[in-house]
Amino acid sequence: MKEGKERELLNRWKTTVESGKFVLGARTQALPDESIEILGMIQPDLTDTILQPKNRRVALAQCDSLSEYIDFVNKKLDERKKVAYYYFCMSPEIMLALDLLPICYELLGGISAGNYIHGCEDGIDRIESEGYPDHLCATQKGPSGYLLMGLAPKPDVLVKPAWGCDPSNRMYEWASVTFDAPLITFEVPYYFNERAFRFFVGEVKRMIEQLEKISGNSLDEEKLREYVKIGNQAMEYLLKIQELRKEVPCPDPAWHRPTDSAFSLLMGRPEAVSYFKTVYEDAKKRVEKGESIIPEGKKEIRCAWGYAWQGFSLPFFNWLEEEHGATYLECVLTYFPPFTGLVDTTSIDTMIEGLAWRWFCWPMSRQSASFSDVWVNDFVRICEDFKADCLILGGHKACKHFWALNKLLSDAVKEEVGIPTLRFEQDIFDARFTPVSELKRIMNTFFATL
Amino acid sequence: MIFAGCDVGSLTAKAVIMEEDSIVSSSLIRVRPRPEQSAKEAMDIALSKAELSLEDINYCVSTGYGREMIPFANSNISELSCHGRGAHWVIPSIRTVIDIGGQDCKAIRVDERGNMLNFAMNDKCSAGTGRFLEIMAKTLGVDLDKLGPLAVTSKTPVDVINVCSVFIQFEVMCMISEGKNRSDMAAGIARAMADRLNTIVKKVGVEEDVAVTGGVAKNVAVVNNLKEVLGVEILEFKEIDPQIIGALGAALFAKERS
Amino acid sequence: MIGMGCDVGTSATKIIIMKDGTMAGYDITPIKDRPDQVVEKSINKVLSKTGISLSDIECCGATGWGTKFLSFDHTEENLIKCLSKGVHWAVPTARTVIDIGGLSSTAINVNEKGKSMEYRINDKCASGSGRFLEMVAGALELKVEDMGSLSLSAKERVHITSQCAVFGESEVIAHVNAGREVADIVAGVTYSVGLGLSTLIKRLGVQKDCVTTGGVAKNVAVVKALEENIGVEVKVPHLDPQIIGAIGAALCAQERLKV
Repeated sequence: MKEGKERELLNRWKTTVESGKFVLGARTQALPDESIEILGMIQPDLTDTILQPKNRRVALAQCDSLSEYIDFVNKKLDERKKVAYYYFCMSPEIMLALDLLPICYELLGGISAGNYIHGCEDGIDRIESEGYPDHLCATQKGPSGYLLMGLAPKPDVLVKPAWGCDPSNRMYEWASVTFDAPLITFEVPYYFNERAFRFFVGEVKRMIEQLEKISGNSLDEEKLREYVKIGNQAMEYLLKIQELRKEVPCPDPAWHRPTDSAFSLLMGRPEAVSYFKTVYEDAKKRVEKGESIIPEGKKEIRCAWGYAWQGFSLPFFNWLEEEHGATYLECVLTYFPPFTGLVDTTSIDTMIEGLAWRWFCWPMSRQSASFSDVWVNDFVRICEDFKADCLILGGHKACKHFWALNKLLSDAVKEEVGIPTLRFEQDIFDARFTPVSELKRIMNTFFATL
Repeated sequence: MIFAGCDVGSLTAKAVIMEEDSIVSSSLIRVRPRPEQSAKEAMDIALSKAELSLEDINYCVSTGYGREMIPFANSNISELSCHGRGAHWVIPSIRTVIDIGGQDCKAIRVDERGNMLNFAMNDKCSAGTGRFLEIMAKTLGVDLDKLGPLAVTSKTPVDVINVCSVFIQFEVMCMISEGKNRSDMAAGIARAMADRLNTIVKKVGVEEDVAVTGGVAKNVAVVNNLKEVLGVEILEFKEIDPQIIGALGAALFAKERS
Repeated sequence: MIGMGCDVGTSATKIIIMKDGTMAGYDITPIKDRPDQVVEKSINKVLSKTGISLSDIECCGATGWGTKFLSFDHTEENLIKCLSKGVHWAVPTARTVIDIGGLSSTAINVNEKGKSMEYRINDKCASGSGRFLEMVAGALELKVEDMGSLSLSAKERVHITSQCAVFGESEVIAHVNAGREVADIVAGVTYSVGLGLSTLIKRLGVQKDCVTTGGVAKNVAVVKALEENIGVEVKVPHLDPQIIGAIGAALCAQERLKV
């Protein structure tokens, strides 16, 4: 299981989540000796955060789920299954049904960013020393660096819906050329309407044809149904949790936002179901019991994040709740509009179309489509429906798409909802750009003005 | 055959005279109001040390901020190439040169022949340049060349929070009024300098061996902090003043071009 | 209700006393070093000017980086909130505030109730700060207060290319050595400060009425350059624009008492 450097990241994460389980009292077996080095890499306040009573159950579910997913990946690598890297705006049911090993490209950086003191900085620095500028998106940079360093399995195929994000499109091209792996790009239409969706379904079908050739398997209806049903379970919980966050006070802890994004990328795997189920049960119980996630005596500050969670400090979100009573209602990187719904499992065609619809509505993809009205209207609606007290726009420095419309968004919310806005720059995977101390300073100032 | 290189920077001007493969003489002066005045003075001093006259020079290359305004130069070359070439000639294993000038700082990657592969430069912000240290030395009330030795005696460097020279100056002024130890402040300043340099160096990546050129190379505290921040050894130019490396590189190009 | 407001900035300390909703008196003292002594001196000056004693003060709000130098009871108030409230009190039609301080500048959009809706701060880089103007004044041996009117008398404004305050100072010296007129150089400097500030504000979005505060608001040339570049009239409050933050701090402190 531990053969070769290409399992290095997987091994690190496995040790990390196993020590998480240990710390949470769910693992009695001693940790192996190699763990010492890894333990030294983990952010100390992350341990504090997961040990908080309100966070323990979900933290354990995360550790269990990630541990199982890593076991699944290792097993498939042992079986020499072809590795299919996919973009963080789709779910892997089709790839699972084709017996490929799907790994989300961006998670290679994201999981490291969220756990370690130095995040995925080594990966970022490695690719930057190849000449990639610091203003390209770190969500691809960390993983690309790791692939160059040989710390993750090489791609056999790359799948990229070509949403309007040049940096990511180019980096997948780079990966394809560097690792000599075919790149399946599917064209994404400009608009968000029926005609555009029809086109998108056609592209998904084209992707399936290409994946069938590469995997050597044809897409089997029964197999696909099995994975889609599992995916639907996770999606159902996710949509319900979203609804629960409309409650006052918000019953769902803020630090789940980045991990929601991570686990939704595993839809089709049971690990995603157990994660979302736990999050849902906790939130539901709080609503039923009238329990709050913010300390007693603090007034809730309900925040809608038009942009976005940063992945390098989960404890920071916990701090927002504990220090300021600030709850995190919704994020552009986690928001599925309610009309996303579930996939119809009647036939192979309804399933393909249903999956295409989900990917069409996927957070960030949907908002990057069409004109700014999609993003702006989504957030005016979110601020109203979720009863937000303020809009926070922590724009990712590499996201030109966001920065091009940031003022339209803040103006619209100010005018139509009448709530204050905060705009600042950060890098969602690289702590060095806007460190946690600076983030806290920014938040301290902002909340004092409300 | 005799070759010369002249490097006119924003704060100092340097000249190097070479005969075939050896350095005959060199000079280092504070700049005059106009680049051609600085170049002439630097060159005159180097010539007189070598007991030569301008006519003896077969070819002269100028570099630096004022390089296009030197009348006695046969041609001019960017200081990036000159620093890379000069450093590599002294220590052929060098692959990364960090040049810290009066008003800029650069990171230069060179190949095994000393040719420039890649570079990154900051000439917009004074933090990370010689000016920053000048301001800090003045604020602490010490001579610039005493800043390094003062810093290395510290056991508990202060934490500098800001990134702008003016803001840091204010921060240090406050620390002085709070009675903080001068060597601790000097050490904190050296660390801040290394951090600012790191943002530039990162852009090209570090390949060993690494060397620092420019006046700030003589600040032992900055160099020590840079080693720590970059995580690599930094080689010293034992017999050659790191401030003349640019002029040396220019002289080497002069030999090539003649 | 007698309330005190203190704004201990990086260039000067500003203390005001409000009595029953009107200004009773104020003091502004520059800080060169020993901020603790300056603060105490400034407070004593205000007390003696107004004839009010410390024991009469019912509440005190303090803002700025140097609040730790206040030796008596006070509440810490957020500077943006202070500026918003202070400007709203002084100029109720204000919807955009541009505070130009010693080291940092802030632009705020406020609503009709004087609540901050959005803001932008530059507190990382000294370009376009009061400190930059002080550095240039020092290099040219001028008084900072005279730079505004001197700029207006310029014949041909010098173009200052550096963004950085430190390099800008060197550039100024180079222009002096090249024989340029001092008025022309100063005009170039004040213009570049106004230009830099306009970028900060444009990113936020200007809404009328636009009001400027802080020490540098007293520099007519900077205000003019600002107006030119944002295309909107920039008003300077009738009372000293430098004390607006301190007024806001007093108002914030008073508000706490009412709750």
